[in-house]
This record gives sequence, structure tokens and C-alpha cells, in this order.
Amino acid sequence: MKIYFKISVLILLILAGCVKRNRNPGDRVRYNLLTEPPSLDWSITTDSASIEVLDNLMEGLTRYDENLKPIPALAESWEILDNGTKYIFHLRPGAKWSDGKPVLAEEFVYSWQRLVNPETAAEYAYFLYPVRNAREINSGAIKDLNQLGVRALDDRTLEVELVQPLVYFPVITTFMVTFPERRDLIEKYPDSWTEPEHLLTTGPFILTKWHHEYKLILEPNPHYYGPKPAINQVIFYMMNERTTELTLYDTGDLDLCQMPPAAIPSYRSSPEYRQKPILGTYYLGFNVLKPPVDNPLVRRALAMSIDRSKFPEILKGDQVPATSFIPPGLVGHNPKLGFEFNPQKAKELLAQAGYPDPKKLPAITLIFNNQDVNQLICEYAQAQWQNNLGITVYLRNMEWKVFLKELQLDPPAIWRLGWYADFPDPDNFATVFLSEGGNNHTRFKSKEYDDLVTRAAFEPDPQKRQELYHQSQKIILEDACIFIPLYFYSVNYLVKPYAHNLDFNAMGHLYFKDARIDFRGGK
Amino acid sequence: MTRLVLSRIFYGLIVVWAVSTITFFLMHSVPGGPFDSEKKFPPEILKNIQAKYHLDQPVWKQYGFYISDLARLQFGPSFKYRNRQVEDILAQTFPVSMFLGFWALVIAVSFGVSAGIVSALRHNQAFDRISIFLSTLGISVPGFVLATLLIYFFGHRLKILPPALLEDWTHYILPACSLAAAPAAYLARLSRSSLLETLSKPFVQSVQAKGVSGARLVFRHLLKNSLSPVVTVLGPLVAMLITGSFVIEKIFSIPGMGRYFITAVSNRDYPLIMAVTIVYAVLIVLMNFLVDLTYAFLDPRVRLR
Repeated sequence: MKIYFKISVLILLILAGCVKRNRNPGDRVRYNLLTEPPSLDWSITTDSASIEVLDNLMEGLTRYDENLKPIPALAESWEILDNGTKYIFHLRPGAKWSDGKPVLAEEFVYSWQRLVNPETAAEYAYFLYPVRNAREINSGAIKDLNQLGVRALDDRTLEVELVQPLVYFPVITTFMVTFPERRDLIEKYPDSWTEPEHLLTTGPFILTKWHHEYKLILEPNPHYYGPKPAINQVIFYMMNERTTELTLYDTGDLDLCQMPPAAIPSYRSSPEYRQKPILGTYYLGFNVLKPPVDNPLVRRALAMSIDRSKFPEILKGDQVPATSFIPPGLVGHNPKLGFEFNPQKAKELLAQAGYPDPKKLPAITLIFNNQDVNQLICEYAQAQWQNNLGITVYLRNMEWKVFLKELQLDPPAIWRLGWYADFPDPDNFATVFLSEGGNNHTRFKSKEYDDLVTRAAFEPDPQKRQELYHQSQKIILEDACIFIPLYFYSVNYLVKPYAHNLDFNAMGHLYFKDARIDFRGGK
Repeated sequence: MTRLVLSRIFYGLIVVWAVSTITFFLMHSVPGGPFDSEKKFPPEILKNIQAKYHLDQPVWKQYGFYISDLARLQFGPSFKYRNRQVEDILAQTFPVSMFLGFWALVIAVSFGVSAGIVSALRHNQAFDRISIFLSTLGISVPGFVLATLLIYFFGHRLKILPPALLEDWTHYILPACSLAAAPAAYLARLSRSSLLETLSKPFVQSVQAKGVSGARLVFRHLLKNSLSPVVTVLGPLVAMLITGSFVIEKIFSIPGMGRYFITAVSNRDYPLIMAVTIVYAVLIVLMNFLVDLTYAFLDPRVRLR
């Protein structure tokens, strides 16, 4: 027996010797991306993992500052002409690709034409629909790509013509689909131009390695116009499991990590724990054509009988309870809109709607896609309606794509969804509930709402814009009450004490160009 | 023999065709499409996408495209990973799963079969009882629970093995053990019961009466007569292990093929679903053929036709 014990100890010692120590050597940041980026072709990709990588590899005409306001990036300045229907962007003289060649205005023209070309089949082509003829080209009504309202006046001047004045157009030019593209590269390597051996970038980093489904490595771009990053590598792993991610953070293999909700209470008191609200809203929507929620009084009663203050406790992530839709930090946010928790008033509304006895209310079904968080929230809402109104709501969970199909074809009385900002402007939230909007599953149609939202998009005066959003949000939140906002999203994460300048912005994006590793501490 | 191989290839191709055809139509009958997403696109964009991937064509036409691509061993671009060909995805991920599966198989067979043999030879003794207890545990405890426990003890507490990722050979140890545990337990029980049955046969007493004992008795006479049930399960087991495990690859963050058995379906990534199904079907057919050949080697009474 002794010999077996000795052999076991020897094996363990050998193994322990084989395992490399996990300390950060001081020149890199290791982070989990969660999934493989489906594509790094910024014209066709749509998912958050790809966006997270591309935000560090590429820059476009503009980028965000800390307050999510657009500031110059590859464009050093721009002019707004013809009452806001024409933009002239002047490119920065020092703007270069990672092979040292200058960034040309023609490369934006090529990229934008490629985006709206029907053959590209780009899902996000609609981001350029405000540009003249973009929609017509994308739908095939116009075949000539040169009819698109974008022109290179010379190597460093780009002219963009819009269909109508759009006050937030410089916000759209921060988004990846508007980044320039190299025609020579894409035509030479049509299937592999996004692989590390070919990819050229304009941002602070270049892609040096892509082990698919495992990790990506970024290194500083020697030709970036701005200050060189202080770190030599960003390593993105692709671990699907948040618990595995947390284990690797604990063992020192990662320098920051996002947290599974169940782990938050254990780390909440740690100095490494951070929490940041992001631009996104979780809500329960109504199908306003389905009885009994076709009656606005019933919908209001349901909205008033959920105590949203419990969500941070249920979800453990410091989520901000919401009664309105546009999140804090954006023009148009108004915390006074929507209905507060008021079960007594809710009962009165239900009686007014013709249901003094809640048991006589026709059956209501709430559907959600099967995820733990959704299950928790929907069960909580179900219990609240049962306890506060005496209403029985049936829950039905389903697989994600089946859920989406049901929303498209025939949504039940209530369903859950969330909305994250594509760009930090209230228009991105308000257009969700336009009468003909593809994302409006409520079946609610209001010309008044559509007009207010359209006017707000073109209104340059922030005060007037705020007022237009106030009026439009009041329609959908209170008058018609077509959905119940529940909370604003937040991101919960841990950062090692030696890692500096690593914080998510309100879009939930992480930029590594200012990151620094310093074991001596300090800012 | 040539005739046998050719006929088995022919029947194998029919099986693979039937599996792929059934999968194709099942896949298209499931609600939800590959490009359905939370944020809905304008109709003209959906039309462009559907035209690009032939999704605007009737299903029978799509089946025609699919069969003609399959005949050329091409699956086309993935719907999810739009810049990558499905063949490239498999070429990158299958070797990883195969390597991990191979080591899991080595562990499962060596530990499982040897534990079964020793248990049978020491029937109702302490080793047998411990072995039965451990094998029951191995079969009952799901792989993800075992994986989590191994990560906790060896990766988190003792810090002697990496808890995830795939940087060097030490990273294979915990996933290979997690993957091997259930098959090892099953093989241990199977080989034990099979050997016990062989031990009760009269020829064993006859061989022992001739003075044969020890290793010669076990390896020359007992094993050859007891391994048929083990070999039967080894066929599908090999196919299962080398195509990867969704749960184990997910927990240990292994860039293998196993994850696609689930994610390709949830993404409705039709080309990838078809490719992984066909790879799995081909391996099952191939392994079953090898199992049949092994039967003939183990038992001369079996004639291959």
C-alpha cells in the first residue's frame, strides 16, 4: 500500500511541476469573450462578441468619448450642410491602415456600397438607410451602387447625403458597419480577409492570432494615429461557461471577468467587484389585440401590480428598477413616466374594466425563452399578479428560435423581451414601437406616436427633443400601456487590482487601448 | 473479403443517406429559421439573406442543392459563422475532439476492463465490492457534476491541474478523466458480468484441470470468450467519444466539435447540423463494421458474409 501512496504523491508532484504559474507577466490583458465571434467582417457580423473585438481593432469616422458622445476618430472634423441633409467628413492626415497605407475616403465609399449591396446580404444594412438611395439599392430597386449618397471628393474628404436631416448621424458613424474597407484585400482574399494573416485594421490593435472557438490575440497596431497601447497583448478566450470563467479568474488565468448572477453575493464585498448600468431595458410586452389584455385598463392594472423594487434582490446584480423604457443617460429618459407599484389602484382599474371578480378574467399566458433569469422574472411576475390581483397567469417557456417564431406569428397575451442599445441615442429605443416596426410585437399602431418619434429624430434642439420623447413615451407607457418595463440592465464584473483602466462603458463595450498592468498599484 | 467490404460500404452509404435525408427534413420542420433574431430586420434585408442562402426556394429544391453539394463533399458556408466553410470548421475542431476522445477511450478501456477482470476474479471480495460501488457511482453521476468536482478539487483547491483551456498536455487530463468516467464504469460492469459468466462454463474447469492458470488462463482463454459484449458497445462508444461531448467541451472550454451537436441546432445552422450528423453517422457505420470484423477474430464460430 505504501508503494501506491508514494507513486500517487510522485504523480501529483510531477503534475504540479508541469502546471505553469498563472501570474500575468505584466504586458497583457486576458479576458473571456464568451463565444466565438461568428465573423470579423464588419459588414456582415451582428453579434456582441464580434463587436467587442472589432471595437478594439477598428475605428471609423467617429468614436465615443466617456459620455458616449461622438468625437473625431479617423475624421478629424465634419461639416453639416443643407439643413442637416449633407455631411462633409475631413479625414485625419495621420490616419493609416496597419500596413502603413493611408486611409482614403474611397475606402469608406467602397465599404458603404458593399454594405447595402443586396449580394452582401448584410443584416445591418439598414443602419445606412438614412443615406440617400441606400434603401432602394438594398431592396434591388436601384442596381447602380454609385447612386448611393456617399462620395469621395478627394482622398481625404467624404461627402454623405441623407434622405432627411438626422441629428444623431455622427453617432451612427461610430458603428462598425460604417468602418472603411480595403477593396484590394477583400477582392484578393474574399473568404479569408478577416483571418490574422490578411486582416488590416485602423484601430489601436491588430489581430495576430485566431484559434477558432478558443482564443484571439490582439497586439498594438504600429501605425495607429493615437497613443500606442500600454499593453503588448489582449488575449480573448472563448469560454461558454461563466462559472469556468470565474474559476480561471480565481486561479489568475484571467485579469477580469463577468460574473454569473449566483456568484455575485459572494464577491459583492470584494474590492475587485464592479457594477455598471448599461443601456438596455428588460420588459414584458402585451399583445394588445388579445383578450383580456386588449383592454388598456387591464394592462394598466397588470403594470401597477408588480413590485419592481425586488428585482435587484431576485437577480442579485444591482439592476435598476424601471417604469420607463429609455434608460438613464440618454435624452428622453424620464423616471417619472410609467406606473409605480400600486396594488390598490390596480384592483380598482380591474373592476372598472369589468372584472370586479378577478377569477372571471379570461386565461392569460406569458411566454419566455428558456433561460434561468427569464424563469425567475416570469415566476415572480406570476406570483405578484396572483398575490396582488388574484389573477392566474400561465407560464410557457420555449426554445429561443421557437419563441421568436411565436412572437412573429401569433404572440400570446404577454411575453418577455429586452432591448439593448445599438447606438446611444433614444431613437434606437423609440423606434422599437413604431406601428410598422419589425420589433414591435405588441400589434399596437399609433400615427400620433409615429409622428412624434420621427420628429424627435430630426429635432436638433435637445430641449424640444426631450419634450417629444416625453410625449411619445407617455403614449406607449401610460395611455396605451403596451408593455411593462421592469428594470435597466447592468454588467457585473471583477477586475484584478493590478489591472487598470478596464471598465465597461454604458454600451457594455470594453476598450483595451488605455489598459495598463501594474503590480505596484497606482492609477 | 473484398465483396464483403464493398457490400458493407454500399449499405453504409444507404444508411448515411437515410440519416441525412431524415435530418434534413426534420431540421426544416422545426419552427424558427437561421436568421430569426431578437432584433428584426426590414423585409428587404431578410429577402437578400434568404436569396443568398437559397432559403427562398422550396424545401425540395433546397434538398436538391444539398444532395448535389454532399456528392462533392461540400457543405457550404455556415449560416452562423458566415465567413467560414463548414468543412473548415470540422477540419479545425474534429481533431481536437478526436484527440481528447482517444485519451478518454484509453482511460475508459484500460481502467474499465481491468477493473472488471479483477472484480470477476475476486468475486464478492473487497476489491469487487469497491469496484461495484465505484462503477455504480460512475454511471449515476452525470459528467458535468464530475467535471465540476474535478475542477474544484484539482484546479481550484489543490491548484495542481489547469481547470480549463487547452494550452498544453496537462489541460487534457481533467476533461479526459471526466469524459472517461461513465464509459469506464459501464465497461467495468459489463466485462465483470461477462467474465463471471465465462468462468461458470465447463471449459474453464477443463482448462484449469490441464494445469493452465494465472495470466495465461485469463488472457488466452477467459478474455477471448468474454470480450464480445464489450466489443459490441465499443463501436458506438468510440464514435461518441471521438466526436466530442457538448457538456465536457463547454465546461473545460475545449475547442472541439462536440458543442456543435447542440449549438448548430439552436442556431438553426442547417449546413453545420447536416455536417456533424453525417460525420457521426459515418463513424457509427464504420465502427460497427470494425466491431463485426473483431467478432470474427474473437470467435471463430462467427462467419462474415
